[in-house]
Amino acid sequence: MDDLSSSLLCQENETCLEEGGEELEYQFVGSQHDCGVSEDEHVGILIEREIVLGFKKDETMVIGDWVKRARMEAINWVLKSEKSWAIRLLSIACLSLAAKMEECIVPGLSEFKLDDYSFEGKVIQKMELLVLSTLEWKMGIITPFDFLSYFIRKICKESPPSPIFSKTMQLIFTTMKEVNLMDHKPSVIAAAATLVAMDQQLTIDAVELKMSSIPQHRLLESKDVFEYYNLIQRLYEENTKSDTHTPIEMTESSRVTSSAAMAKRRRLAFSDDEGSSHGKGPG
Amino acid sequence: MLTLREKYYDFDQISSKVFKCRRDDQFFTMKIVSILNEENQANNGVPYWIIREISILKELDHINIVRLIDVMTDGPDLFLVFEYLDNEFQADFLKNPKMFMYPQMKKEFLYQILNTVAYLHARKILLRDLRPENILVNVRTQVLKIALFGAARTFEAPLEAYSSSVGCLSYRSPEVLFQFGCEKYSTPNDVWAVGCIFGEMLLHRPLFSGPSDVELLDEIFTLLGTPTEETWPGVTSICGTCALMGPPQQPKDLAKEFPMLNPDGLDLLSKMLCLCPNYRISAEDAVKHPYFKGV
Repeated sequence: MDDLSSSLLCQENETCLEEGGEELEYQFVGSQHDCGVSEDEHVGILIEREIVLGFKKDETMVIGDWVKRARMEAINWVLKSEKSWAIRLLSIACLSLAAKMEECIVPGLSEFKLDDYSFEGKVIQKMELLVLSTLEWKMGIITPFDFLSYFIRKICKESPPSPIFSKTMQLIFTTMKEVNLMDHKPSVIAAAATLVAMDQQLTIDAVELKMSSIPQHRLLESKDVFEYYNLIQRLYEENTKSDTHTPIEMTESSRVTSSAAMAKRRRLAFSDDEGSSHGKGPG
Repeated sequence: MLTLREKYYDFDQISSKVFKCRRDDQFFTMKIVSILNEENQANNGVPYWIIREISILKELDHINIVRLIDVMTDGPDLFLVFEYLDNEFQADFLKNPKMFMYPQMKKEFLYQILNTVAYLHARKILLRDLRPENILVNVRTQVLKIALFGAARTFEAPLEAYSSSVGCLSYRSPEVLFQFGCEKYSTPNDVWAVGCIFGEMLLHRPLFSGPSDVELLDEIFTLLGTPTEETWPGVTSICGTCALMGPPQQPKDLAKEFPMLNPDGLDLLSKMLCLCPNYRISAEDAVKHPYFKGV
């Protein structure tokens, strides 16, 4: 069963973020035939599952109550990063669970040590179980990253520009801070981010045309994709503007992550020739 | 949140780790899985393979898969609540003598297995240890159920230990026996296992039974011939074992080995038992094979 999880990896690892995604591009080209399953069918199933999961087909996405409550509460708690030990414990349990679902080599709990707190494995396990029960053990949630390699392949019919995968991922990370990703269909986010990474000048007609190269485009509303496409661009502009002055609201405890994110964001240059330059590497 | 005993009652022990229980008017089968075991002595929390397997099973909804309905925790134990299969369902379906009385029924069950495998593969899920022991059938209604997580083994052994774990080798594909691409079990491996089950249905005995990897490979090559660069490109570079196995063997005529099978059936069987995993038929294509016309 391990293979399922590894095939649904969000392809996020340290190297790909640090190195401008060179290795990742290779990975994504190489991973197409991993499982011998028709990718078309798999993506179709994912999109259908999104709808089942509560993402409605129209633009007002209403997610199943329990997912929304549980996830949002957990995320808010973690982000607020209050001093209380319970929140620290929850953060560690969530991080550990995410690693157990996503990582090829799962780190031991001892690697999640915090400076000022030390939780026993038993205690973390209890919190893990609490989170798992609350989420009804449904850990295989669909994220935009599940669609990226497929969409990039379909939308860029010729060989995709080399850094597009990491660029698209960074666009998603950028928007993640500003909008609630649970309010939008993961497939819509993935398609919009891919399009922004490729071309920032698209009209709604052009978006529709590009989308038609995805076999499941009937399940994806071009209108939604275009809306999110514009949203990403707006957020990106706002962020680059604010980057030069003050970093966006940094709470004391999130300083490390925020500044790391800022560093990432700065690499995301949008000069006109970037899309075509191959192997530019981290810059 | 209700506790285990508030939610379920009338526990009836079936085996050491399995109970029948009730909630309202419905029966369930409950399996106890301990989180703490030898592999988890360092206490790294809930083992990742348990989380992954349960989360996969929670998403599945297929008539031919024993459905996981609920997961309860109590201390270091997990209680997996499965749909209840009544006494009419018998595990280890090939041990059931009725299986061999009606050829049409065998075909029906083979079709249900392949259909389930295709369903799982489309979701990028691999079975990896499909064996007749984990397959239950109701002969009267002709419904087959695969207990994906029924085997305690699944939980006791971490997934990495697959290739070296003890137990039944019979349904392992040549590429797995070669330890070729160990880190990447793939869908053809499952189709091979179904091919072995198909053969076993016809012969009333395991198709291959070698007690060790090498003996099993020898049995496989005796029936299907030693693979060559032509039938399996790249095989010479991965097959260190081949050199140990004596002179290459020619494939046998499957029509003589399986005289009870019609040409469509022989075609399907040979495609499922194709040595080279890349050339082996997919479950999806196997379901559409002419052999199943009329099922």
